[in-house]
Parts: sequence; structure tokens; C-alpha cells
Amino acid sequence: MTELAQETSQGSAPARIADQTKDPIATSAELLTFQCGGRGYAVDIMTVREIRSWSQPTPLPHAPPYMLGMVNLRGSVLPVMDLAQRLGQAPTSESARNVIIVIQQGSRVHGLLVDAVSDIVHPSVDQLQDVPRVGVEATDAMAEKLFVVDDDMIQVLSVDNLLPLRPGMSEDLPR
Amino acid sequence: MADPMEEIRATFFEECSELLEQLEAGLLALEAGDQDNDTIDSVFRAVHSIKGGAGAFDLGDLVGFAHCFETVLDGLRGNRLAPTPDVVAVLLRSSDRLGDLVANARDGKTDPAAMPEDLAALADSLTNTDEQVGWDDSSDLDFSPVPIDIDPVAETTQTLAAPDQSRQVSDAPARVAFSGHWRLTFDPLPDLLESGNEPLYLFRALQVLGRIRTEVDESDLPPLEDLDPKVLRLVWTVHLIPTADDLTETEIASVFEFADDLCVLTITAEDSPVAGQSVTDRPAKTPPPATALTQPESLGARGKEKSARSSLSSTIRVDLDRIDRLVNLVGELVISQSMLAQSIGRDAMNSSSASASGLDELQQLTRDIQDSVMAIRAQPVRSLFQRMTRIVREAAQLTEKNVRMITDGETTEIDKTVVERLADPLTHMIRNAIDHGLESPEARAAAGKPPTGTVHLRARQQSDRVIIEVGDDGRGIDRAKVLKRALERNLVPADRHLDPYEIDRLLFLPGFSTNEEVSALSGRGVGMDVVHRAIRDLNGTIAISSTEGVGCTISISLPLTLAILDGMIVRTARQRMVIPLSAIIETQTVTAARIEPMGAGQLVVKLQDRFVPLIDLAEGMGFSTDRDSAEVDDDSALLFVQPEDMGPFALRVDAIEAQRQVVIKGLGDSFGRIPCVSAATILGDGQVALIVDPGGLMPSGSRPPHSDRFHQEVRMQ
Repeated sequence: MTELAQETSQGSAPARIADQTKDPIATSAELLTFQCGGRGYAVDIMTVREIRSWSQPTPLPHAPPYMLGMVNLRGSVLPVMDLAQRLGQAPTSESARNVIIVIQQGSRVHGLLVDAVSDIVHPSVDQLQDVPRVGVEATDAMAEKLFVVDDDMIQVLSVDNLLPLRPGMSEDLPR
Repeated sequence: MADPMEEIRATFFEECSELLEQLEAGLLALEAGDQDNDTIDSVFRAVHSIKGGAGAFDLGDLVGFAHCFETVLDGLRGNRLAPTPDVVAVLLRSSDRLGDLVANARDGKTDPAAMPEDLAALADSLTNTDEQVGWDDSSDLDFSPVPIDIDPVAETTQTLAAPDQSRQVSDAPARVAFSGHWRLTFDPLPDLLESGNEPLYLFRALQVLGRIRTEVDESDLPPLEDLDPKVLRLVWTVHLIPTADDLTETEIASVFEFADDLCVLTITAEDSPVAGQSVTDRPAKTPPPATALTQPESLGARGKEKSARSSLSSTIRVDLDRIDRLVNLVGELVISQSMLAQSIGRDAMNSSSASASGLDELQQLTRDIQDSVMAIRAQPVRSLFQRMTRIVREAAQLTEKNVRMITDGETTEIDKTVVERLADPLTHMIRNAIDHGLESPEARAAAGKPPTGTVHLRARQQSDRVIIEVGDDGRGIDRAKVLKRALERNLVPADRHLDPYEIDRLLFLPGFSTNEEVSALSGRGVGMDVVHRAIRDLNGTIAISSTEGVGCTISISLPLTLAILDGMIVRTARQRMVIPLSAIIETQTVTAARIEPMGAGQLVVKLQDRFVPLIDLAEGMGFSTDRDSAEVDDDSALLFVQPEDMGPFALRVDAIEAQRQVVIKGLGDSFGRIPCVSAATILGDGQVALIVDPGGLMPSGSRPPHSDRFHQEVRMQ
């Protein structure tokens, strides 16, 4: 398990989130990239609390399929989503390289199951392209920027949109 | 970043609540006859500190009131006012009022209500009859800076001498009787002013103890252009002729308590009588005693005071989040410890090996750590009980009854969260006891009881639970009336015979009230059912015992901490889950149970003399089960549960694994409300297990009709 980023301090978190809604990438262009369902994705590294190895989650009742359940995160309970399923793809297949990226948004902490973590990158602001709007599906809104590394497209995900709208997966958006 | 000012404000209000507690405790001690100076001082200091803080935040209402309060307390301190029961009653009411004002200030509300007349009257009587507190009147309120004259000696003596003159007259006899005086040297460290202290106020406080004469040594003063107005460079010598001849050094030192770390203070008794003449004389400028001489003395005095203070307060204020984190980490430690124990056991290591005995020690240590960590959250119920004395006073006033409150077991400790969540139920129970339980003084006299009713509030620990009792010596529950009311409302079948304890429990039915008229206290739409629910939410139980004409006692039994739950660990659909033991009324094996089909696919099962619905736990939780429901496994079991507002029903599980205490992990912000899950826990192998809320399992359509509530409520004990 690698500690990549320390928990952001309570006091500065709200201010940073407020900035993010305006132009998140401009204020922080340090990104964690990872593989999920054969594609490349990235999240703002400031939202990443840690990366931990896969352990079998305890399922939650009446949860949407992408909600895998809960795992024990050093004595507290961490909900884990299958990111591929959350993005509307086939469920992630089990593999030894699978990891859980623990992201924190305000007081909400979630785990994302992904295939493997790739790199930490610092794209310059002009390398980041806007997302072409191809449809109106909710999954499109998950990506807020795009950039290209070695001819591969990497989608920068919005942590805000990734987390279920309301806490309480049973009351999530009808899908 | 949060507004730093807001944080300071929050700290101030936190301190206020502590000070208010201290104030109330002191006043109650006064009321009980403990009228020594320490008690009065602590009361005065509490009000004074609130006033000081309120002034810094520009809370005018609060400052004004606290100031008036302080004036009266100062009268007590200076023996100009005797702490008679009437006076103490006014003070207690004022402390309640001060609490209201603090709450208002915190919520940003202004209170138009004026100063309570009784307190204002007391303050007036003091200021009118006793001229020497003239300096302490409202003109002092605005904390205006005192202009510094070029000649500080003249300034200080002049300001202080003026009120002195009037005192000389009234205090003449005391002065004649005393043949000694105290000499104080007060050498403030440079940052005294920065910390909010002002020598002038300290000298004024000294003035309360007797006549003073001050000399100032300004030899350390830098040239005017180098003068930093925030740094104090003056040294004072104060001659104090006490009003009372038994004035002790500690009493004098206590005036400087707030400046303790900020000055070098020496207090010496001088036996030589000081003639009136020399006091009024302009003092000859004497240099301050050489530092080498005063230093050891002053260190000794300060050291003494330090140790006295450390015995008073040895607590620190810690953010609850930090403690929660510690509790989590210790929980994790306990789990890894048991995982380690399991793997050592699996590897069949020699039980006498060094690692095995090391593990034993580790086990012992983790257990001790766990206990100590849990104890950090524990808090004595004293503060809660103190709050209740206020409720008693208010209720007694509103109902015009004479009530005496007796508390017992105030040091009993209980989880902080539980203490907080007990305030409302206790308030309600005490109001009930006074409003419904106690008779009017006339009725009491007619019944041959003393006119003053008694309300008992007791706490005690009983193994791993805390029992809290609210009792009164009033009329007790009028069971005939309760039964009549229940019949009127169709809460009880007319032909049913009820035992007395069953009738008592009817009081917990929602909306139940025996009061014919809405009084000042009742008729708020809150009944004992709310108390009942609050206690159940705390995993507690409640019981009534009442004897007609003699009194009624309601006792609450609570777990020591909310962090731990007694649970039954069950397995179903390859998942382990925890069912709270408090919800389970009976267990049966599936093989022995009498299960009957009813309707389409619905099963019912016999529980004692009736049939109740049967639900498969896995299905109820929405998990798929690969088990054929007709197939009966020897391990399969039925748990009969009875959640709030529902009749009993049975839960089918694949196996019952164990019964044990589990550490509750809240699901927090990351999860919303999941209807059939109340929380989670982490089992010995590190896996997360859900804690089932049986109330969420039954589809709402299958809830029993309202009138059936009676059964559940009476059964629930």
C-alpha cells in the first residue's frame, strides 16, 4: 500500500473544492493516471488519499451494481465502487494487480476499484483539451478534460461527478 | 480557511459553558451552606471571565448583565452582602439568565428582555449603601483606556485614592483594630498588557480587601520616543491595610491569579502599625527591593500557587475527532492482534514458545489500551445533573410547588455522546415528575407529607450498564385513570385484564397523557413515548415502578458506551451480519420451529401462542440466496425480533455463529441511510460486517394495525 497524498487539511479543503468548480485543472495539474477497462483515466492527485491492495468487500443491501460494498480501511469502513461499472462498462475482472484508489471529497471518502495504477503526470494547462460533448448520458459528464500521452487518450475524471449524487446508494440517480 | 475569529468565538462559547457549570456548581455549594471565600471567589471568577470574553466580542447584553451580576457577587466577596437563601435564589436565577444570554449571543439573537429586577435591585442596594464600589458602576462598562499621565505616580494614587476617602469613614473601626499591613511589590513582565491584564483593575480588586496606597517606580521607563505603549515598564509597591484582620497571603495572591505568570509578585506582612498620617502622605519614592532579594521569595510564592492550581484542574480539551480516530486505531490494533493470534495458532507453534508468550503480553496490553481509550470518552454525569437542577427550579416556579432536588452518584461516568443525548429525556422526565407527580403544598399537607416535594436523580454503574433513576415522592401513577384513558382511546381491548406494571407501561404509548388540562409545562405535544424512543435509540431500556400515594420512580438502563453493541453474529448468503441483541426476543432452530405457509409464498411461524411472519434475512436484505427454502439445514435458525412500532417477526438465518460485543462503525457521510442497516462493524478477521436494523426489513404494508401496539409495548421490557 502506498501513501501518495496525505489527507488534505480540513480547513483548506472547502476553499479548494470551491476553486475546482470553476476550473479545477488550472489550479492543480498534477494527476494520477490509471487503467480501467483497458482505457486510461486520471484524477486530480489532491483528491487521492491513498492506494491500497484489493480485498473482498462486504456487499451492501439494495445497492446499485457498481457499488461493490465496504472494506476495512484501518478500522473505519470504506465504500468501494467498481469504476468500470460506474462508467458504464463491463465489471472489472479480478486480477492481482487490481487496486483500490481511495479518494476524498470533503468529508466523503470512497474507494475506486481500477485495473492498475500507471503514473503521476504534470500536463501543462494547454495540453488539456475540453471534452467533446457526444451525448447526454450521465457517464459523459464524468470526464471533464482530456489529454494525450504517447498517443493514448486519458480522461480526467471529475471526482464530484463520480461520487453518487446523494450519499446513500439506494437513492442514487435512476439509471 | 475558516474564519479565525469564528474559531476564537467558538472557543469562547465552549469556555462559557464550562464557566457556567462552574458558576452553578459554586452557587449550589453556597446554597448548601458552603460559604467560604474559595467558593465565592470561584463564582465571581466565572462571571468575571464571561464578562471579559463577552466584552472582547462586543456582546453588549451579556456584558451589561454579567457586570451587574459581578457587582452583586463582589458585594458577597466584600462581606457587604450576606449569602442568605433569598440572595442565593436570586443568584441562581441570574445564573440561569446568564446561561440564556450566552446561548442567545452564540445564536446571534438579541434579547429584548431587561435585567431581572431582583438582581438589579440587589446591585442597586449595594451601590447605594456602599459608596466605595462607586468606581464599579456602569461608567466602567465601556472599558475605556485610562489616559497615561506624564507623572504616573500622581495618576495612580489619584485614581485610587478618591474612592478610598469614603471608605476610610466606614471602615474606621476595623482599621483601628488592626496593627499590621501588607506590602506588595508588583513587577509586571513586559507582556502583561498584551495578555489583557491591566494593573489598575488589579489594584481596584485589591481595594476590595482594604485600603491601599500605591507607589510606582518609573525608573525603568525609556525616553518617550522609545516608549512602546504595549510594554509595561513600571514597578509598583502597594501598601494594603486590610479591612478584615484575618486576611491571608493567599487571598491577596488570588487577586493576581490571572496575572500569575506575567508578573513578579512579592507579598510581605509588615507588623509596624501604619499611622493614618503616613498613608495619606505622598509616599517618598522608594526604589523597589533589589531583585536578588525578592526573587527567591517570589518564586516560592508562585511555586506554591502553581501546585495548588494544578491540583484543581488537570484536564485538557481535546477535539472529539481525534479521540474517534484513536478509538478506530485501537479497534484496528485489536483486530490485527487477533489475526496474529489466529495465524500463530494455525501455524501450530509451540504454545510455550517466546512468540506465543509475547503474544499473550500483547493481548493483555491491547486490552488495557482499549479500556483506557474507551475511558477517555467517558464523562461524569455531574454536568448533566447540574443542568437538571435548573430544570427543577424552572418547573417548580411554573407549577408553584415546593421542590427539593437530591442528586446522587454524580461521579458515575458514561460516554460523552450518551450524556448529551440524555439531556432531553431527563428534562422531560423531571418536568413530568414535578408537574404530574408532585402534589401542591396544600395537597401534600393534607396527605400528611412535608410540604416540600422531593425529586431524586440518581446514577450508578451496574456491571457494564449505567442505571439512571428519576424518582419523586408524589402521588404516584393513578392506574385507574390511566386505564380509563387507554380504554377511551381504544389502546387496550375492553375485556382484557392488565397487571399493574402493564398499566404503567401504557404511559409510553405515543400521545398518551393523563393530564386533563394543558398546564404551563405539559401540552407541548411531547409525551413519555418520546423519552422511550430516545432511550431505545441509545440501546437502553426503561422501567417504571410506582406506588400510589407514595411516589414514582422511572429508571433507565444504558450501555456504558455507544461505541459498543451486544450483538448476535449470524451467517446468511455467505455473509456474516450482526443483529443487536436488544432486538432479539427469542431464538429457535428451524427444525424445531412450527412453520406454516400462508398466502403466496409467505410463511408464518409460531411464537408462544401466536403466529408471526417469517422473513429470510438474505432476501430481506436484497441478497440473492442459492438455498432452497424448503431445504432444512441443521444449523439454520430463527431469530424472533421486535423492532420499534412493529409486532414481532422471525428472521431465518443459515447459522448463528457467536454472541459478542462488537465495535460500532458509523457509516458516516459516505453512505446515506440504508433502510435495513444501522451501522457496520469489523470482525476479528478484518472483514466488515453489517449491523442489521430489523425495523427496516419488514415491508411497511405488513405492519400491524395501530391498536396492536399495546402488545408490543407491554411486552417490551
